Amino acid sequence: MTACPELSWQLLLAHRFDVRAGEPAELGAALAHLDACPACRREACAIDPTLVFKRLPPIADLDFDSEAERMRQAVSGMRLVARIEPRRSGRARAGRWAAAAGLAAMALLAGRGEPVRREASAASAVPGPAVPAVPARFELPSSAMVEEVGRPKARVYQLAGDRLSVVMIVDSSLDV
Amino acid sequence: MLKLVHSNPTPETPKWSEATDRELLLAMREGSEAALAALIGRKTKPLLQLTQRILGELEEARDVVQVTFFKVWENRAKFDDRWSPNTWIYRIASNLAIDHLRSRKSREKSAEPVRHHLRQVGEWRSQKDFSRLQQGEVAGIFRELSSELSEKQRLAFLLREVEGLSSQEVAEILSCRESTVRNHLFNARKLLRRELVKRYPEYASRRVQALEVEA
Repeated sequence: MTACPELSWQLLLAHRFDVRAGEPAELGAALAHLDACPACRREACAIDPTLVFKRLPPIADLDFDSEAERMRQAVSGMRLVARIEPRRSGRARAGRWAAAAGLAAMALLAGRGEPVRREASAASAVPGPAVPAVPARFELPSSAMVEEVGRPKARVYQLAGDRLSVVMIVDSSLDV
Repeated sequence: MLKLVHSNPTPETPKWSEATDRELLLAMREGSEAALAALIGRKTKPLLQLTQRILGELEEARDVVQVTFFKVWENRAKFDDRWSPNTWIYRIASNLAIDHLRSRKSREKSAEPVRHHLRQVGEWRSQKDFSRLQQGEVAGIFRELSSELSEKQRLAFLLREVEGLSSQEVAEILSCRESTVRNHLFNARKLLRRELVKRYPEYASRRVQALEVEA
């Protein structure tokens, strides 16, 4: 047990019922002492009974590890719901559509399995979004592709065939 | 054959248990879900305790804390690293808890069963003084009396007196000046003391009773 403070509790607690008074410097240590000293606690509570609420108990009988796990799952669910709800922000919606369009374009290109020669294409005369040329021997420019669609955490899988190549872009945050 | 052709190299995972709250929030700002998970692990207990004390109901406190973490995540980009992380998170939780209180009009809830129980406890206690109340009894009395406080008074009292935050931190959480916090605290203590003496005279010392009569 720590030694009882020399100042009287009457003086230490006087500020608690005087809105103009400041806290005495010794108050913090004195209040910490209350927990260990029933005599001082009795004396202090007799002057200011609201001090008893300093002893409000923690929530008993709760396993906070499992509470935290429940929280994680709940928050994860709320985030998922927020993603699939109609977007209020047009900008966000536009970004999602851009990502979806980018993915679709990449998948189509990859699926051809042959190079795209833009200079020979009739469509090339029409101004439009730049489409990356695919080399003759198709190699999936995976890193660049992922960067281009703005999904740096995505994983890209390729099921390659002679005439067909299937590309899967897996990104848990993408809900198109 | 299906082959993995691209995967982001696994970033070096910081030891989140050793990261400060600020580091967690900054990592969340960069999109780290692991940091969010770590923050939830760290803050669930204090936030549940605070909101349970504000609301008086554990289930409602759980709901509020869930929404708090969700809002922390959704607003992570707005976190300014000059702010105190604790203050920012407590402010979100406190505002949500107050909204919750308002929506259910907790003041209309009857506290009579608690009071009745505590009167019985008091009757068989030989030496009656507040310092000898058991923790469960303290919680019951606080639940009853705090419904008389305004939301701001209750919050200021809990954050300062029970959670032990500084007046400055409480002022930041409540978005007000420190002098306003002192006013809230003063009024909360005054009201709680008056109600304690009125409802539980058997516990109040003669000194406090005399003060209340004078008041």
